[in-house]
Amino acid sequence: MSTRDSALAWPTGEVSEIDRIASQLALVATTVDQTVVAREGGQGWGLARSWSGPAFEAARSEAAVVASRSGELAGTLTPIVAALQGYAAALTEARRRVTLLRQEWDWGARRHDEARHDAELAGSDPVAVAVGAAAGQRLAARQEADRAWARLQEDLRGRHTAALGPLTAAAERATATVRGFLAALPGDDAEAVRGGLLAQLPLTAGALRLADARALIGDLVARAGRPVQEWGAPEADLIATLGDRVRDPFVAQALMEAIPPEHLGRLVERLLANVASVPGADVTWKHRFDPALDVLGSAFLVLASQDPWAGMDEASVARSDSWRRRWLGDLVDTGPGRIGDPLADPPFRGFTAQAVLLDHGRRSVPSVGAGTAYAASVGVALVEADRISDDYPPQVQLPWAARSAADGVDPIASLLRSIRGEPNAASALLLARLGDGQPVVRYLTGERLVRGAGWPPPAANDALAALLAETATGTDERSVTIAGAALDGFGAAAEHPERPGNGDAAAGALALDGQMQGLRFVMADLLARHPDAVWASVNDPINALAWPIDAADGHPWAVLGADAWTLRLLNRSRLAAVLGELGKDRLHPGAAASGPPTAPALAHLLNALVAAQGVGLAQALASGNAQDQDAQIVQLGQVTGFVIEAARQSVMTIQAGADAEIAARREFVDSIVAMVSLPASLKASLPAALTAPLLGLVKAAIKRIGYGDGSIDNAATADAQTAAARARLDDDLRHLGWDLVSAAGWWDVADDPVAWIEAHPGVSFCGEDGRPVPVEEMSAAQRERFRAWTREVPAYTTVPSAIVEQIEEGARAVRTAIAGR
Amino acid sequence: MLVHVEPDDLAAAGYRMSGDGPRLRALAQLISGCGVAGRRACTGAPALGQALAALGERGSAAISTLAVATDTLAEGLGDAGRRYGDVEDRLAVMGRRVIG
Repeated sequence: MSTRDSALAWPTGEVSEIDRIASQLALVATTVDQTVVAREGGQGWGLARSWSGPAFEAARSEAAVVASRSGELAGTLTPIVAALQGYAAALTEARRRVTLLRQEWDWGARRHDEARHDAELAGSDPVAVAVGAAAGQRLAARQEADRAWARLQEDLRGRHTAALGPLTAAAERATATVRGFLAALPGDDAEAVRGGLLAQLPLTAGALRLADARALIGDLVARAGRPVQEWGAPEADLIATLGDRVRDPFVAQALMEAIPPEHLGRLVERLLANVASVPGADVTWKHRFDPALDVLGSAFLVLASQDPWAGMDEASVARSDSWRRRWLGDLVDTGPGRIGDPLADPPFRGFTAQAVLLDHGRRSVPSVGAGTAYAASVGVALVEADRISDDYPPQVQLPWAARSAADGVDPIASLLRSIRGEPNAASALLLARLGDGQPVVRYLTGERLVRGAGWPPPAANDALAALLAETATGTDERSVTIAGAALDGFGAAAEHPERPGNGDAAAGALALDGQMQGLRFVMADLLARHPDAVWASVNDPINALAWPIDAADGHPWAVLGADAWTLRLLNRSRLAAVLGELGKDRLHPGAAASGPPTAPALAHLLNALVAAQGVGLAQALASGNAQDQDAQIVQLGQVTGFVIEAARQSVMTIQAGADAEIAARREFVDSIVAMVSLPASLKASLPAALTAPLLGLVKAAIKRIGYGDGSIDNAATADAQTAAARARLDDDLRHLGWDLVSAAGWWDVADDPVAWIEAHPGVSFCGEDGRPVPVEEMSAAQRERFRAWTREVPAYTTVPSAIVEQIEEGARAVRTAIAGR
Repeated sequence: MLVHVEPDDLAAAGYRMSGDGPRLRALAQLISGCGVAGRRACTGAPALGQALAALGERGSAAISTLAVATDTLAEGLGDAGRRYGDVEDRLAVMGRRVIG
């Protein structure tokens, strides 16, 4: 590079290219916001005249964002165009000026050369040579030429710098405007910009995700190399490769779109049939398709869940929900149909495949359960199919029969397990009506148990008990309705084998015993939450034989009580049947008592009843109202008598049925007695002196529920011992009555025992509270003095006899109710 | 929620918008080209060249995304129009007046 070019650098750049860029950006700026969407979306959208509703709002919102972002792009691009054009112009101008400066440089260089030449000539002047001044003149002229040239160079450099100043400024301006455009974008690279914009465009984001998911599944289908309706064991490994990706609802949807319900059921059946086809297969073989079933189950459960599209925009949710409604409809339609071998027993149905998928899905994604939409449509259809088919209980397998792929699958159990932890879905299912008008929960706690009589406890019982605990223990109308329907079905089933003319009632009760296992405690718990229902049934003046027909559309077992919703049982017979079943909790004929470390069902209920009666009695006694007091005594006596007699009758029946093989399970009785105690919270609020006698009564009565004090070898012995026990009970009841009067202070002021003791010197029979201690704790001398005092207090005569009378009345009501079935 | 729909209008709007996506994609390609050319054309102003390259990359991404959005809207409107139209036809066959 020459000195000139180095000193007067040439401004680089492609002016024509920059102009072309500017013009292209101008084209973008003027057209990017001129799309139909941007024009119409930015102006409130004339489509509003033709369309309204949530989908329109979502589309309008999306279009408005497109319009807004398009407008912003156009607005920030326009200044860039001007800035680039300015830069191109500045570059052109700078080049023109640098060209001129370079010309000047060349001219100056020539002038410098000429001046140096002239200096040489001056040095050769003969006159100057003669006088000896030639050398000096030459030097001076040369130096002057050099100085002039240097001055010119300096000047040109300065002017060059000045000439480039506007170019630099134009470049900086253009750079700043481009950076302004970049700053307005929602990200620092292309991916971030795309993500930022999609965050503002939910409709588009959803569509893209679904498109990506469909591409993923499309690739899977392509790799399989054959239609999905032919899929089976060979595709299992391929399906398993999807892994956790199916937890994304879009991937799950794409998978279920690709494998519609009829093909899905066939696929599951083929996988299970493949496993079932190997007799005596080891564990590895039995689980060889689990990864594939886990993937299919996860996708299935995600889509069946309450809110698979959580966090998505309304429009995408609406679009996916629309698809899901059709999918659920297909599941309902294909559910009852047989799949595979038409002779398979039990038959493999669409609902069987769904059950398998629900179980695998729940195991793979424990936090996800089936939602209300699935439960209220497919779930109800599944239960209805179970009701009208003869699939349950399964038939006895003949030794030579091939194993069915449905063997060991109880769709009801899988369904109930899938809605654990989803109280809304569970409530929707349990309260839904079946074809015969009864709610699902009534069928599950009643008719289905009767159908399974003689079979082992149904697999569905554990899940059903848990669901009832989740959904039926509240005080709101829905909870109480579920509880009432459950108890009604349970009671109706329990009545079944005890009907006259039903053959061997004891054998029937024994056959049904296993079906009731697992439900007794939760039934006791439901009834314990509404202790008023027991007295309402015992004292029911109508004692109807059937629920009123006009209540068929409602739930007659749920009524609005004085303070909250409470439940009702059909009549005394049904109450007695429920109580009888509760008395059998953990009574395993031929085996030792066992079970969870909670109170047995009957003890649990009695605790609640005693607590409720204790509260009522305490209030009545404190009120001083004689009628209230009498009413409470009647209620206490009859409820206690009814419960104990109902349990006794029921246990007698089943013991008679199991007589040939069992001995009395005394530990069972003891376990109930040990568990009868008031909750700590109630102890604090109830007078201990009042509740202790009540509990003593109940415990003593339980001891005599058909067991006596020794082993029961047969029902006759039990009956005789019961009669003897009943006689002893009367004594206990009298104690109870006396102690209740003492604890309640049920006498006139003039009869105050402390004053009496002072007036009649001798040993005191009162405690620190000034009231008589319980009879059992008195010494002989105390008891004698106590009797002397009570002769002047009428309550000690009336209350004990009233309680005895009322307990007998309650027991009589049970016998009447059972005899009237 | 009550909805009001004129299926033909929806389908027509979807059709009108169906050209937006391709147009925007062409613009995205154009602006992408500007980015590539900018670095080459502005050798005298490297900062400007770099900024233009970023503009090409990110501007193209932005406009491409808008293109997808317009595609989605156009397809959605067209599809909704067809489906609402089918419902309307079915209701008409059933002798019922549409959708309040």
